[in-house]
Amino acid sequence: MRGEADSPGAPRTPALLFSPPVFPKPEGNFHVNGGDVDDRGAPLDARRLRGLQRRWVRRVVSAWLVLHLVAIVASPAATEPASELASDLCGYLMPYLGALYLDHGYHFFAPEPVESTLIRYVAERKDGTVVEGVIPDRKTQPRLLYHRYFMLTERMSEAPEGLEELWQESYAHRIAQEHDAVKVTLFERIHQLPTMEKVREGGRLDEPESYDEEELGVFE
Amino acid sequence: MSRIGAAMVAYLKDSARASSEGWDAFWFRPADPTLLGVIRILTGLMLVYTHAVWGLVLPDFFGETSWLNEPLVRAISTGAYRYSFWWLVPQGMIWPAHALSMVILVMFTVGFRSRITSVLSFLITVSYAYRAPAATFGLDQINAMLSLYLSIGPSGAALSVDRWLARRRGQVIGDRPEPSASANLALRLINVHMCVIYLFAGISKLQGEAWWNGEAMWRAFANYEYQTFDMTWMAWHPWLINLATHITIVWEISFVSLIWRPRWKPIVLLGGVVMHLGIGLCLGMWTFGLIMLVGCSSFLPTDAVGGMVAAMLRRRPRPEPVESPSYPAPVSRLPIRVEAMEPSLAGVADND
Repeated sequence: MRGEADSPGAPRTPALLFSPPVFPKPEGNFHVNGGDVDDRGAPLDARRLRGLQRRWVRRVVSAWLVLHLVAIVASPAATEPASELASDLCGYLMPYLGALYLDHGYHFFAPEPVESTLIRYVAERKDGTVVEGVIPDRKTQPRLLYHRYFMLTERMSEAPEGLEELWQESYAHRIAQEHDAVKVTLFERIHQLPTMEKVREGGRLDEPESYDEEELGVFE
Repeated sequence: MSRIGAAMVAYLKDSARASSEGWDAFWFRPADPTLLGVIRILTGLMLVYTHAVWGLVLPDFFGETSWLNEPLVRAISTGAYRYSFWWLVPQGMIWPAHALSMVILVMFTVGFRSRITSVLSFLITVSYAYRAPAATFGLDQINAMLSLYLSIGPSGAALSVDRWLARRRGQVIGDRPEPSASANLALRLINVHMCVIYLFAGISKLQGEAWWNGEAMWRAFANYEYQTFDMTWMAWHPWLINLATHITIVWEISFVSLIWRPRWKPIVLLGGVVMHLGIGLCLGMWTFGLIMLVGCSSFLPTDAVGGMVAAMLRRRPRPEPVESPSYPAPVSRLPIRVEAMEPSLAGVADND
């Protein structure tokens, strides 16, 4: 991670917004014993070193840094498909990753952007009236809240085996509560993505035939 | 043979020494904490907004009959070492708990009692995310990551109420805060984590056919549920779609190496601005795009940012330090010479 300006004799440039990185020269400007400098090139006073400027503190923190770096790499590396090494390493580090909310894959739009999963519901009240709706509702504002609901439906479609029913029950219960309903029917709606050709032929993104629907169950 | 052996030992010793010095310089070289203060404000604003939006639907996500009820969340979290203070909050107390969280997040944003409120802000962010795990996305991951590292560094040492109060008490002198090794450590942790994020975001896409055949960006733009800006006109320009797809993946994968190259850094950061603002504009994910840019801002040179902020603040009249009998007269607590706190920008190299 050394920049070009590390090379001996590299010109020292003014500190513009994107001036080159300047690590200490190999001879070492960053020794606790007299040669330390800060990011402005000012020398540190070795007699008044504190905290991370002390060598032993740096060694302890360095050990933690190694652990931390391994952890933050192991977590995305263990996202499927993953090697046994990455999976096991991530498993060992899970208490650390979990405690710091670092157990993420960072696989944004990977392996590729796919069709959306939505939920359509039909809620029946005691008096026989029916309320229908789709989650997420595109009218939801602010947009961040819309994304929260969108994540709810996307995540349900990826529910681990054995959790699907619990997941659906939880949503159905919430919908029943919201609409004072006694019976809720859930449908999973997959919104297929149109091809470029289809759009060029006049197709719209919200064509009714681009939705595939399947009943998930009736919850009373 | 012995000469070769001795040369190898010398080489290894030299390499180890150089690596050790490089490691120390990279992580522990004291740096101006102003950039960390800027990142604290930006992250804090996003945390306040994110949690204010949770407040619009608090009972729906954190109440008794939430979308994700307790048995479901417990089942999802099995073996994942997750925690949330929400499990301890009685049903009738969810609003006071949320209000207290908001107060702490605002305190963190303005830099009041930063050492404590930064840690609490991290715990609040994680607690909300772990209580509603199926409603979270990249925004929450980056929010938590930034607040974690801001709690490690002296994020309240600059541009904060803490500093303003210290100045009023006469405990602060000079326009710029004291360079700090932990400020550098925190910024480096953000730097490296951003590299890890982009690297895995990029290489995970290599498994997808659409990122190879150039259609991936179309699939993102043509997703009606994400769409906020009509990009279907691109169907008539497939080469443009292909180009956007290829540039995205090349940018993400190369970020980890090019961001450290001085000549490439501005281009890489500019690419990040275009990509993330594009995500905000076209896919409606403004919050995610902006918080990623906050993470990217950690690559700005600390000294230049510190100098610019100090120059801006110098224009304002500042109250005279008040000497109190309970405090000694202003004395430098800095491990560096006071005159070194007033550098001219010219001729001073930054640490990036």
